[in-house]
Amino acid sequence: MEVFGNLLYGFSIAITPLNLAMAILGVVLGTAIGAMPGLGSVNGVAILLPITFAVPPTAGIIFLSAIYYGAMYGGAISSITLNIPGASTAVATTFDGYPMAKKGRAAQALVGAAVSSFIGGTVSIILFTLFAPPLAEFALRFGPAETFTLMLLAYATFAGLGGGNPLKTIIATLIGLILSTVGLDIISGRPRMIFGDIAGFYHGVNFLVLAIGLYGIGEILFSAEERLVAGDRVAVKVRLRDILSTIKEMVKYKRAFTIGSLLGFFVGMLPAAGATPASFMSYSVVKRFSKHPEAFGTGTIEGVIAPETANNAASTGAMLPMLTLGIPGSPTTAVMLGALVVWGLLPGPMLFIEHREFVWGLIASLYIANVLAVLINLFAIPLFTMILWLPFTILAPLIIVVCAVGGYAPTFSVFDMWLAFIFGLAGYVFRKLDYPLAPMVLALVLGNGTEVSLRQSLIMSHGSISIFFGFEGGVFSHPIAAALMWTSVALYAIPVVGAIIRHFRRRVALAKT
Amino acid sequence: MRRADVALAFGLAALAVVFAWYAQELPIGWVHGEGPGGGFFPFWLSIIMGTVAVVVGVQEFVRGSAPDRAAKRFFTEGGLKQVLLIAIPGFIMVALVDVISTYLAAIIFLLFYTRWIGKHPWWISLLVAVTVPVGIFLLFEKFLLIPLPKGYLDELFYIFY
Amino acid sequence: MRRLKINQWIFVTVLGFLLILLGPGTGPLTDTDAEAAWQPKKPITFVIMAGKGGGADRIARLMQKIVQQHGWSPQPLIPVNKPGGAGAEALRFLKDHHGDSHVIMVTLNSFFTTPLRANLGLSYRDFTPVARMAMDTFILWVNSNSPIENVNEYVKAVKSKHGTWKMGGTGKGQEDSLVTGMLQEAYGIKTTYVPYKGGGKVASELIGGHVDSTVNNPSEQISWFEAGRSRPLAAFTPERLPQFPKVPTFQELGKGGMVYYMQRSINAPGGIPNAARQWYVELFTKLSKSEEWQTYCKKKALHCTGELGFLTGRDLGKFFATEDAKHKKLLKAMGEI
Repeated sequence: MEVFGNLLYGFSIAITPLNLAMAILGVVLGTAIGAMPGLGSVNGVAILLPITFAVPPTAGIIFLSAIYYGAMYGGAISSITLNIPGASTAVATTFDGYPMAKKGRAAQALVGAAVSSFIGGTVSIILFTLFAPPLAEFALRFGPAETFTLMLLAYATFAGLGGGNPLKTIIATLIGLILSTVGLDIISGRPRMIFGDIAGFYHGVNFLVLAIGLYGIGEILFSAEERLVAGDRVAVKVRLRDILSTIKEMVKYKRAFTIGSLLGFFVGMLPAAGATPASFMSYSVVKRFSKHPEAFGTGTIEGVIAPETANNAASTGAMLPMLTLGIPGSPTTAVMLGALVVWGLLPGPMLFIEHREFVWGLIASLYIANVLAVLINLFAIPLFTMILWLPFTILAPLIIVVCAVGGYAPTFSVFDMWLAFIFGLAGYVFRKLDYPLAPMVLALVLGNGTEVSLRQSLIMSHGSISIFFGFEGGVFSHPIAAALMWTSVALYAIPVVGAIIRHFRRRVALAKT
Repeated sequence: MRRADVALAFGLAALAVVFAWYAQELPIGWVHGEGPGGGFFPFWLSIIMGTVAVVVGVQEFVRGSAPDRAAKRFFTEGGLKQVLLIAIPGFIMVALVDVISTYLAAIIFLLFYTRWIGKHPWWISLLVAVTVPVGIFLLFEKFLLIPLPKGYLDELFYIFY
Repeated sequence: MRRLKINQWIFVTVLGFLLILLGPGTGPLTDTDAEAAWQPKKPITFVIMAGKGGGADRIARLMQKIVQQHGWSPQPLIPVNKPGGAGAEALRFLKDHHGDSHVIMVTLNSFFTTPLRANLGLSYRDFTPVARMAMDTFILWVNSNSPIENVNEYVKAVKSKHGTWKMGGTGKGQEDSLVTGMLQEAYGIKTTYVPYKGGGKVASELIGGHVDSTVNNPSEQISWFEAGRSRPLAAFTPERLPQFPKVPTFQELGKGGMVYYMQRSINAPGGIPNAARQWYVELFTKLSKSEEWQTYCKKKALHCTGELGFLTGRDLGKFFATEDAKHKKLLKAMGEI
């Protein structure tokens, strides 16, 4: 098999001392960056790019992808211990990770996150190794119509994210969508929603600023009121036995692992989607097929496995179009593409042929990076849980300072620091009055792509929505879009139809009595 | 709690009106042959948001809040004070960032909260207030090369590079 | 510094305090002769008018690499993306840093078009021109599956579609749409213009068959071209590009004046000391002569030498003035202003 020959060749490159050292360094730094609110993998990769100038490109890309990987692992840490997602990809991890920590099962949640990340990442790399070229061609077929219908499908998974009142979920989603329109309308090239002419809104509302505000600052204000002191947060000693027993417990969730890995890989591979929607979709789908859907949100390990498997699988998936086509599958891979150019390599279809050592060295190093990341994370869990020992009056101001800096870092704008604090107040009020925060954050992430792809499709079809059902100019030319559209129509219709049927059944039953 | 529920719902409705107002600066209709205009998405979403918010407001006003929360007050006893004690110093810190640098502002904020609110001994307060900004400086300025705002004290920091 | 005068007393008090604290030997704050030889004293903020991963971003990071590897600057260049409002955010930022010698910016043509289209209260004249590093070129592309081999067939095909021919490009009012406008006017054709977020995305949409043609920069299409998946029809340059010797120019095809470039230049805020400007000019002169930069230009079909190459001083000012006038005309013709 040619693939295995290539892979062995790749390992021979990845295992050299320099490349191995870069992988270890990258994983450690990435984990730290991912755990830090305000610094996701995009910033991490962009910021640490200069370090790679000193080494050959292969070592450079190994370093960057190790950061990318490490950040995916690290994002879960602050989600679980503090209820502050370190990155957008880890928002879904807060749903069950934080409740677990509150129950004193922080260590188990962290083990769960690390192991699922490992499994998701590894499955994804195997798929990558085996099927890269044909899957790349498939990704190329995703134009605006396909992207929009995929987004519709992603929104269908929102329903499960809310609390009691579905209307409040709708409001939260709408706020996120409206915030995503702030800044520039790229279709007409005009500024919009800048509220008069406030320069701070020109670049739009950054996802990280909203997440830091709602989750980070909002959470601190919320806990300040509950006067959570050290004793209220259950801090526990972590023993090796706990780690092993958690791993044993996880074996029964094979279905969650399978769904998370496959869904993550495919969604990550498609341009414009990436790891954040993948983690949410996986959470909803796993919940739907779970034996204990009612346990989700109260701190079940299955709810940590689902998003964490998917986001790591997706981050590998996103590298596929980057390497094979030169199209980024996620914001982070867009920066990595830039790095290839800086090193003098031409991203695109010729990369696999012209720079074999580079591509296969990278693929092999992904296997290694994953093993390193899971080991480093497992050993560091006692360290991570130490944060729970800090008394509230030290932890709170510390987090506020980190959030302020984190609000500034993504955009280099003091205005966004203010914005993060204002979102913090909003997050505090929303939390008290049962408005769900996750749909808002997610809608902000997806909103722009949704709107742009909708309008691009309609420009192409001259205003006819039949394009989403596969027809353009009266010809059936978008089968993928049609399939996705009908699937989402079905998903939206099922609860409604179900409710109607139940209603009539009840009436029939009533009539009989 | 019911009053807070209703107030927030109508507040959100008002916010939606503000959104809609700024959204209609660009075409909100269906541009012929091009699909929706630049204001379409934000405008109509704002309208829906406003409508839903009003429905929620009326619902909670008529029906009252969910039974488990109806009896509760929005702020727990003394809760407001705790929230303000961290929110106001936090806002003051952000206001000072562009004047006396992120670092000095953070030091003052950390000292204030750990010493006066947390009532920790001086050595703990000082330890936190100094190590955190120094750590942030090393991480951001030295390692990640993200220059944080330093206000009027910018030139003071030249010696550290 | 920008607001130092008003608040000198704060500065002096804190400075005094710190000097006592740090003891003797740590006071290089009072530079003896700032005018004679300027040197950056803190990291230089290198503003990019576009988002991460785009063309301008790549160029800026390449420059950062070259400067760092040769040790040409005592302080690092820190790339900072300010993509908001099609560059409006970056332009505002630069204007707000009037007189700050530790900020420079790498520009696109939105350097002209954005202030023309939106009332920002600034223009290219508010900044200190440092150097023009390169001129990027444009080519008309179709998918290689398409039967179209030359511009004549292209025009015929577009006409037969009665305005439903899909042209992919970057945002409206940006470079691609201006080039498309020129093309439409010259041949009396009409296309449906589909805007995308960046040139790389436009290129892959052409290969995926979602749009029918594009006016990508060579750098955005070159890897697809080499893989045999896209076909160049004609270049918007006065002479044939050395990397595409077989591709005619529109000039040759009898359409004089169909020439358009994207400038990549370096600008500093207005009101910086001359010594600082001089330092940057020297830095970028060295950079433009470096082997790495020249190789990059050759690979990406950028003009980096000769008449369309490196430019500084008075000539650069003149170049900006003509470009600004040209863009005003183009935008007017398109009804954008």
